[in-house]
Amino acid sequence: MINTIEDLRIKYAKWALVYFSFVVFLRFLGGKYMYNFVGQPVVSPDFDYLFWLILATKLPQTLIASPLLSGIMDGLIILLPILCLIFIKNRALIGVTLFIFFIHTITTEMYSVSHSKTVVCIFLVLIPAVFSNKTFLLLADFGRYFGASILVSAAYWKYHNGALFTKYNYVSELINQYTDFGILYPSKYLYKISLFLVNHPPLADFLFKILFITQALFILTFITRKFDKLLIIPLVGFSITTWIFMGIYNMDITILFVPFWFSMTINQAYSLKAQ
Amino acid sequence: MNYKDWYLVRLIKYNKFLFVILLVFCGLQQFFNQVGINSFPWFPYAMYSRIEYPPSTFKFNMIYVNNQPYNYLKLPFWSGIAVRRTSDYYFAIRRNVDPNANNINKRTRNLPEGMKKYLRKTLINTDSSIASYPQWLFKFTSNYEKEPIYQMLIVQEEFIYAGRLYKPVPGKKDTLLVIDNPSYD
Repeated sequence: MINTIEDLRIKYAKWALVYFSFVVFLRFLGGKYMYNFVGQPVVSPDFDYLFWLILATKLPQTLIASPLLSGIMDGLIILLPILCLIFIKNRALIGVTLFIFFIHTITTEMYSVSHSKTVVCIFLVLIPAVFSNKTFLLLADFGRYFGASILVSAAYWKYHNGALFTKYNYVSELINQYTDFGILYPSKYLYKISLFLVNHPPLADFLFKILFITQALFILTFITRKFDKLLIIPLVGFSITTWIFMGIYNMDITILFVPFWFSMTINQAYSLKAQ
Repeated sequence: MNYKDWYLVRLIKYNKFLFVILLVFCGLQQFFNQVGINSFPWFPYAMYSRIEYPPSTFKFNMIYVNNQPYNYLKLPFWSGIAVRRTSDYYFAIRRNVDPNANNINKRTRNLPEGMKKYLRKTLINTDSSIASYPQWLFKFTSNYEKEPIYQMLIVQEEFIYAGRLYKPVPGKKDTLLVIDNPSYD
């Protein structure tokens, strides 16, 4: 029963932290942990100002050079979300967890020469839980709007940049996306699915248009909250299908289900007492 | 909906400071969209929206372990990505300079001399700073292999996309790196 904003914050934080733990589990399963890259000397901060800034502090270099420090960081990333769930009322602990996750993510990405984009969704959803009262509500709502804008803008760019109406463009995307699979691992099921689509271009085009509609649907978020719970279906569907059809990891973006699920309650909670 | 329930109205009513912060955040998002820079936590995420063309011929760095093509795609997802991206990046640095160098030099050109020097030294890879990469790659790969590795080769090969298949172009090979295991008898 939600009687106060704090009740809502706790419920929201529980869902977000459980999903966050799942994301951490997926990362470890996929080899995205600091200990895996100990001693790797090639670093790419890409063109990202924040990555530059963090690299300039020499903290990532210090962490990646030390098996002990890397191991500690990996241990913290597993342990902290669990501690946050146990001490759910402790907002500062969630803040510390996000800071450690931030350093962990930046370091592993720079030293694996990759640069994920959707990880920002983890922060968008969890930062509100660090705050109380109306600030929590306002930030949770912002996460919902900003998350939806990510998907709506992706739909807009597909129209604006021409991919949407260029015949069989998705087939070309699949061919370019799966170069390494085509050379090294043609027996992999992901490649076989993509090859099936490459061999059936009208079907590939149709699926690409479905993807566009899936993303464009999130414009509803800016008009009404009525469909927010329903929008979780295309959100999860988007993450799963981009993995199946393109081998792209989008599970970080799925954490947006939390503000969508609680959207109506958040809207009503503005009139509730803080504690 | 009553205008009092609009998000921006609530934002101004309950937390003016946050309103300013979020306004700046959105302004910067718009700026990064315009200039096409992907800088955390802002990003212009177009998600595969460009017009793409299938490749005709392209170069690909093949890794051979004990004379067999090495399928790093069988490794855990990010480990496989790391093998490909770090090795590609390593050879890009070896061929010329760090691919990020031009951008870093350009964006730091107006900074005070000391800061400029420090940033460039810290952010740009050099031949000497990446000298230990082959040993790291060898160790990293060995961790996933059951059999001991006696030799690793990285060969740049040319491929052609034809008949919906990726085929190697005969004779278009360039050995980039040979790593022998010194302890292998």
